[in-house]
Amino acid sequence: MKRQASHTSPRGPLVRVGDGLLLLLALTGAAFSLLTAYGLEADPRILLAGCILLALLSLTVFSLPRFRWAAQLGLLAALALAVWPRRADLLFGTRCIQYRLAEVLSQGAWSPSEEAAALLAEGGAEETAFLLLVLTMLALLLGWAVVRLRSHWLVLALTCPLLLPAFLVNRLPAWPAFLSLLVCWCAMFLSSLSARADRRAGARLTLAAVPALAAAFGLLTLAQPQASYVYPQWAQRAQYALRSADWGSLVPDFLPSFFSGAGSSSVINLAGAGPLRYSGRTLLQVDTGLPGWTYLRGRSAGVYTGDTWVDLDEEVYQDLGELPGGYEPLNFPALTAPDAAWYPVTVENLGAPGGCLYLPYYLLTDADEVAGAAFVEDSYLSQSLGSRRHTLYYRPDAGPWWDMTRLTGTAAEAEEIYRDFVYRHYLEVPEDFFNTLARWEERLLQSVTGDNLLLDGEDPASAALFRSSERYRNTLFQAWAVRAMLAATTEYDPDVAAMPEGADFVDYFLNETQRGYCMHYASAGALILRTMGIPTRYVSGFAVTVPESGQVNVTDENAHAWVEVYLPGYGWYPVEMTPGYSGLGTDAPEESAGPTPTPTPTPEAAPTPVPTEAPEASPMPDPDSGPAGPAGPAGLAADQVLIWTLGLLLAALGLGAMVRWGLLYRHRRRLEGPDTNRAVLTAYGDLLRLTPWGGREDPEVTGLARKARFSPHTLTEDERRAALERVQEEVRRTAAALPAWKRPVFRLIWGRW
Amino acid sequence: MARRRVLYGAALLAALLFQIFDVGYLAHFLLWAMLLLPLVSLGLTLPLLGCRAEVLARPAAVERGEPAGFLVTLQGRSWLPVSRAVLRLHLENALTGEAEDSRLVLAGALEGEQGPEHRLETPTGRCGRLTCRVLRVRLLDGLGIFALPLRPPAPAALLVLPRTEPFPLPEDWGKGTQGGPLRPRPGGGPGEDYDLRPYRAGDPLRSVHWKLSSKRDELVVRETLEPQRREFVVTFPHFGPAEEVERTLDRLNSCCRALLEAGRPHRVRWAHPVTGEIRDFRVEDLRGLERCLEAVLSDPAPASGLDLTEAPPAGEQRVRLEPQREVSP
Repeated sequence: MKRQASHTSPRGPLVRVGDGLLLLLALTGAAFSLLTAYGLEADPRILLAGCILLALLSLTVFSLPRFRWAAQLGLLAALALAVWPRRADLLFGTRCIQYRLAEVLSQGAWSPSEEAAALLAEGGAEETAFLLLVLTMLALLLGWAVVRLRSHWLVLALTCPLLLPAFLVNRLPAWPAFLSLLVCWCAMFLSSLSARADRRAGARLTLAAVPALAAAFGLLTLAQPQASYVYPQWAQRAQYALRSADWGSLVPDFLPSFFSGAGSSSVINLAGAGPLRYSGRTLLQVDTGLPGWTYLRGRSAGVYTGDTWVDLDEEVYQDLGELPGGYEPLNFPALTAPDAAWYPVTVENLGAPGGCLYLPYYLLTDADEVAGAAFVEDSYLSQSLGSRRHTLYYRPDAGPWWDMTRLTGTAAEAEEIYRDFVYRHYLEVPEDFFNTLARWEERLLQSVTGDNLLLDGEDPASAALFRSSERYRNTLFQAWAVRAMLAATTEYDPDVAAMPEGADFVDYFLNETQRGYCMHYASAGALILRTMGIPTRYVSGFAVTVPESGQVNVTDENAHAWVEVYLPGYGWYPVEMTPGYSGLGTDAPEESAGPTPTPTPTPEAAPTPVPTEAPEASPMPDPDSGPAGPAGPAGLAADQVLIWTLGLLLAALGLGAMVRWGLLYRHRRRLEGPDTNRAVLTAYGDLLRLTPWGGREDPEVTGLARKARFSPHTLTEDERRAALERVQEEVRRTAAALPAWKRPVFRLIWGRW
Repeated sequence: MARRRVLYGAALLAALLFQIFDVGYLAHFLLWAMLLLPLVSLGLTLPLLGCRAEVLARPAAVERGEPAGFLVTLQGRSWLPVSRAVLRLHLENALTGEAEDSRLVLAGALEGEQGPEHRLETPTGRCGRLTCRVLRVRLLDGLGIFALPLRPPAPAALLVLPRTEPFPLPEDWGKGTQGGPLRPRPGGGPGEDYDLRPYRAGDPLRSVHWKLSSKRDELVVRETLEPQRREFVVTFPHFGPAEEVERTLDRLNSCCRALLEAGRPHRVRWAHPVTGEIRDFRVEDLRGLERCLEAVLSDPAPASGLDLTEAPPAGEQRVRLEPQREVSP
């Protein structure tokens, strides 16, 4: 038998102070998190003053012993009267905030037009006003959640969704603002047990917990500073271990992007590059009219730090600015073959990470045509929220061949500017790398013979080399030679262990283990080529052989890394560095099943006569027209049906649980509310509804219910308690008398008792 | 609190997975925050280890059927409140042997010395000595994850006394009260019956039997004796069906009170139903009756047991109370 002893006490000043503190933390935390996470331009001083005022108002309104609803209505009416004359400003503020949110959430895919930019430049005060209006609503809701309900779940539900979109696009709010919210959530959760029994006790614990939590989280921030944070190796190892486990039979592929790391990412963590393990899960579905070997590039990285590859600093891109004509560097190669056939490729992201599109080389779709994605600097195409399927166009024959057309006009001008940028920023190597190179060269001289560097005529790479433009032949040959030298001095090993902490990734690979896989070869190759004066960058993505059907499911086994070298006048060109893979789009990987070498893929037939302009992009095609994977349409459909069924089932269960919780909550409020007559009548109604289950009517409860219904007197607390106990006893008795199979159903329905 | 532990475990697992699958700082910080949170909670609970639980019977004795209970309180000097204290209680009726385990949760602020309390209503439908023993006290932290042990308090006892009914004393109980044993009369004085004994310091000089003392060459005292009334002893069977035992105890209580009202001190005697040990209490006033009843209610009353077997000695008038009648041997 369990008894809960409650020790209720009236609200006092202490309770109000505690509630006020929580309100203030929640409100200021939410306000400044919004402000900083979404880059709003509201005035922080006015916002802080507004938060304090709103917290006090909300506290006062919800602390009133009666007429709370009237006070709220009065407050809202006063607010409406106050803002009505300034409604135009508020609309202006709304538009400004919409623009800012769009700018942040699209991750640069959308940038404000000139008109919008002008609005944003002038809209600081209006943004503040609109934000204060939003905060007023939030303050009332938070006041209800904190002062009346004391529900930490509701506070979490009211404040957390404000930040989730920012978190999803990797935007963190100002740390003190986030800590303020975190302290509020934790303090409410920590004091919830006390507050449930006694509001004064809850207030005391809140007042003690808030400074304790603030100190703890502050110290934690100091001990684990954000600036020096490195993704820990244990997490990387755990990620590999989890990914290598076969979850396919247990976990349906609902939200795959959170559980898939194979592919591309903003930070290439070299320190965690341990043995390769694959789950075989499908990450992309590709449908293209052109079969053969192809790269699907994700992100590229330009800065090597010893244990990571990261993007170039944002500031250097600010210096570069927009290229003339709005050209994107990823489009340059396709522009060198204006008469070549173009092909559509539809890529559906089923779980590949990185928030980027995986696209083939020689991309024709430009910034104006792409939808659901955006070019991010010169590195990649970012994927917009909610868009998973994109159709892009490319010219697979637009290589740096002898018959390529030189860029002209604005495109040439843009390429020239970008070329300067490339030569300034893509040739950097760490100072210590020359020592690494010297040690490697000693070994190179001992182990490499002329045979190693003999160009095999049957090597598809050589065909590409010979077909290349004379202008680039030397560069491409150097790249090929570096690959050959790496192959001669190292050994491909997918099971190589991760490097020890503090080591340099490339040095450890070249001079210690001499074993590695694509990440090792691409990293080493990129640095070596840079020392040779060739601008190079590291690229991650997928390498896949498209079958004749043109449809392929790309799994995590197809994840790959290679390098891109910059060919002046042409653009970035992929070069394979890993032995066993054949670069220049000519050979099949050793690990891929059923490779189909198709050197310099030439389309058999263009889908339409060669257009002179890029076709209209259709990034969101009809889902029904999606490609079927190798498993066949029936298998895929069955999977989809299973997934949808399970998803709907889970959603229905969740909805049912929420509805049940709501009904139970309402019922409990009736039974325990201030109106004793209503409570007894509710209990009597329950007693009557028990009859079909075998329940019996209780004369005492019936008498009390009659009294509650017909007598002018109000029932006492003792009478209510007596009625509830009698009904509870009857529920217990009825449940015990039911057969075992019926009892769970009964408990599900009558769980409120 | 299993629900809270599971909830925290799920949150920690989520934070761990977030850290594993997300390379960002937020995931890292949240994992550490999740690890730190219980420590903060524990730190805020440690000052409460000085508080203590207490159990009091309120009131200490009631008649059967009247409301009674135990008051369980938490006391301490800490400003911090008790998030939740879980007490495991064992309630036992010594007479009937009925026992019940229960779990009580106390929470609230410690107001000075006085903290959260709960009145545990006890069933008083059966007579007996009810003992409330706290088997275990656990103090939970704010999150409800850690359970810190506290020293259990001393047990408390509550007497559920038999009812008092009108009990007309039979007339024959007043007869034959004479003829009891001769006992020295306090204060001495004249009398036909006397006894001789050696002098003891403090004996009055006028009680010295000088003639005999001179013959024996030692002081001999003449102690006047007077006949005592015969001792009235009430006995009863301390076993039987529950209803009969209740009835017997009601009659015992009523009988003793009637005898006291009649100015007749008496003895109450019974045999322990299991060991056969004789229990004998002299009842001269209400206080004595309470002590006697406490002893009666503390012995078990099984369905069958041992009874008094020896014959009443001379000078003792014994009455045996049974559920429906009295037997005077």
